[in-house]
Amino acid sequence: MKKIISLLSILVTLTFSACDKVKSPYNELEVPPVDTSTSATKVRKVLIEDYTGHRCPNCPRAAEQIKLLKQARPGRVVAIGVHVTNQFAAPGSGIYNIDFRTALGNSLDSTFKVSLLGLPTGMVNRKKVGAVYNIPYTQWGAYLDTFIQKPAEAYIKIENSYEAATRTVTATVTSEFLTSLSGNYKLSVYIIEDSIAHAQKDQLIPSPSNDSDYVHEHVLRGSLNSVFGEQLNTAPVNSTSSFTKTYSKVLSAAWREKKCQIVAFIYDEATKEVIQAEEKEVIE
Amino acid sequence: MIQNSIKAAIFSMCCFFYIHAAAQPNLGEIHGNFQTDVQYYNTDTIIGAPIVPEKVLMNGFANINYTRDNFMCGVRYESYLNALQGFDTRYKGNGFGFRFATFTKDNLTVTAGNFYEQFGSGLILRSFEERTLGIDNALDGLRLKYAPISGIYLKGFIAKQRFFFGQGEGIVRGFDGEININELSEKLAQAKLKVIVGGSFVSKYQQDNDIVYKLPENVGSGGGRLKVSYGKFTINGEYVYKINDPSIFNNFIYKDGNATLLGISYSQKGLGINLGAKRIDNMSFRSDRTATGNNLMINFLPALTKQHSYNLAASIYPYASQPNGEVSFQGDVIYTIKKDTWLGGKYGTTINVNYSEVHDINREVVNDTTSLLEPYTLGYKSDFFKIGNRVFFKDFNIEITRKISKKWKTILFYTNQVYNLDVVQGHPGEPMVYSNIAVADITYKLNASNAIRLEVEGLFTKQDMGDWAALLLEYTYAPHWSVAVLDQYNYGNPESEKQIHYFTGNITYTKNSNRISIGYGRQRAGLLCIGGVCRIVPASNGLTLSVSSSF
Repeated sequence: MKKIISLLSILVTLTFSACDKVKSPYNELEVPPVDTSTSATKVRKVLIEDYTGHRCPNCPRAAEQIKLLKQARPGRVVAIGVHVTNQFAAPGSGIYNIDFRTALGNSLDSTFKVSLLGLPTGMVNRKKVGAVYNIPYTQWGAYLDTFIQKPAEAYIKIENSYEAATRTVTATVTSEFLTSLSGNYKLSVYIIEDSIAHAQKDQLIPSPSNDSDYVHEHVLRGSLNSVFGEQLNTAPVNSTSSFTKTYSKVLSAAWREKKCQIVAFIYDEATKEVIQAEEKEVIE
Repeated sequence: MIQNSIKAAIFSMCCFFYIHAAAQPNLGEIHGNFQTDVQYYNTDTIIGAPIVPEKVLMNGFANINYTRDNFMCGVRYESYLNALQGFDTRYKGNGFGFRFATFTKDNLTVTAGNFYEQFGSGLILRSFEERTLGIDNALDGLRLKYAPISGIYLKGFIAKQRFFFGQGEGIVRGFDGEININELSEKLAQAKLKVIVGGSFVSKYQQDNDIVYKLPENVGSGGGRLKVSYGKFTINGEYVYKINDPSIFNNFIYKDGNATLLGISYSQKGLGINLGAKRIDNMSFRSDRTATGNNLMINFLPALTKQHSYNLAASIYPYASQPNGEVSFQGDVIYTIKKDTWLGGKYGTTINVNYSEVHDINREVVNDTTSLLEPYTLGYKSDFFKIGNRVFFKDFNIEITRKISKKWKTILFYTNQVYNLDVVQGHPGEPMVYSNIAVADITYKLNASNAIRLEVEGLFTKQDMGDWAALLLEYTYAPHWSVAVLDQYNYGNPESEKQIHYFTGNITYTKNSNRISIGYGRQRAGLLCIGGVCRIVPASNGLTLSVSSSF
């Protein structure tokens, strides 16, 4: 019996001492110095699509994660907030009398089946992980780092002009390939709006959990070239391949042009995986 | 999945060769069981049933186990083509979800492959399968069980958890020791006082790949338990403690967690009394900090409330345990009034009175600059002996069972409930639901093999979906046939277009171990809960077929 008790004591001591008790501060964010060399301008940027809803009480956590990732990896994150589902994004009574959902967002959700497992969730460069595209927001950082360690395979330049009289934005998007690639690539161009002050459910606020001063960032508003964009190539590309496309869109009266941005990204038609993303204000 | 299938095939071959290598005549035994559930889905916009492009969905499995002397091995083949509505769509395709081999030699049991395990009441570890909830957190690795002397039981394992047809990212390590004092000697076995004492340790490892925060990679949890019986009294207690385990489920707070379970029972002929108390504080324990739903759960936190079986009481406002924190109390008395008395009647009358109450734990801010439950902080402070003001659930219920004559049997049931929709179903801002449910359950036995059962139920509330009525009529032609029709009617819904009938009909045929059931009708959207763990069930309309068998 004594032997058994001694053995147990050793086991318990060993196992407990092997635990990781983390002490405050828990934040270990180290912002890397900005590389100003010429080559650093053509780096890989990563598209994070945050599937969210203004009546989803856990969704502010995912939005905060994007803010932190933008701080942690400056200039490397292009974010889109896709408001989806009847449960979390349909207009509700009182202060939730707005609908941020779009036909574009609904089509994306039905294609990639992101919201099926609940919100918040999202996609990082539309990478398929196992059988699904959705990645929990807590893992976005890990995938972001995996992507940005790879050299860029393409570079996107966006030039916007805005005609106030007709509320029309014209985006000229140049897609330049930096290496030889054999796949077929498509270009998608979306429009998003930042800094929209409107109510949001937030679990951290005591019930009824209403944050009436919430600011919604990078809300997806629509597309300039359909849901799945336009084909760039049908033959293999190399470092001399460049494609320039021009698209226009009339801004809805409710959108504030000064807060709108054009988001463009190139993706592999077969895998749907995004290889490069970029964003630019409608009015600089 | 292909890799899994290859592994299972190799495994089956090993079993096969073992059978053939064994000397005649003891070839051992092969047993198994099978079940499939198939549903054809109709479009039904009135109840908001999601469109099912496949029209027909199917869940199925077959267990095949071989046993010889102290050796056992087996596999479970599973098929989801595609998974039924309400089950996680990551259950997709075919594969071997479970395979194992185990043998016992000189009090040492070795298990390789998949296994289910539970330490104590499960507060620290419970690996189990609950098919109706889509839960299978089977462990996959190596386990040893050893009984060095009579009355001492040791268990240890290192494993990963099942995650659909793959495995979770984390590694789970566990050790449990239990001493049954009365089994230590023949003299102690005769003692009126019975004592069992146990202790466990469970830890998980998951790499920290967060670029913003420091996350603990090794999270340990330890606990102790005691069961003391003396005559008609039994006292049961368990306490577990877990170090910082920030996860998506607890909002990434770094507070340590703990759980306490206490039960006292008294039992004699015709009378049983059970009193229980439970406190859970930040005890969601999963092998992946990003796991959601019912996936990769290491522990199990039972609900200390009555598990109702009547239709409306079980399905409209079922209570689900709150792993992030709750304090609950329950009292249950079952008393049988003697037969051949004025109150008891000719056959006796059983009365079951039950009361349970669940509150939030006490929570206070850790400092002036941090809000309650703020992510990446300690989250909150909690006084163990204080109870939070927020009520999660209250339930007073009484059930009277009386056999009136050889032909008639009645059960009358009433419950008064308070239900926090905001917390239990995650609908912030929804009002508290106060409801009364009454049930009359009458069985009339026509003869030895024919019986009719009628269940009339009413749920009355001014909140949420308003009043409900339900009627179940069941005809049993023993031993093979059973026919049932059920209608749930939400006649009191404040929105008139939602005053819907949910009608279903069902025919079941049973012969020996084969059971075939065909049903048709509407399924209401809601929660399905078993033991305090729930899954969301979407609305559906269609034809169902369920077949099960065993050998």
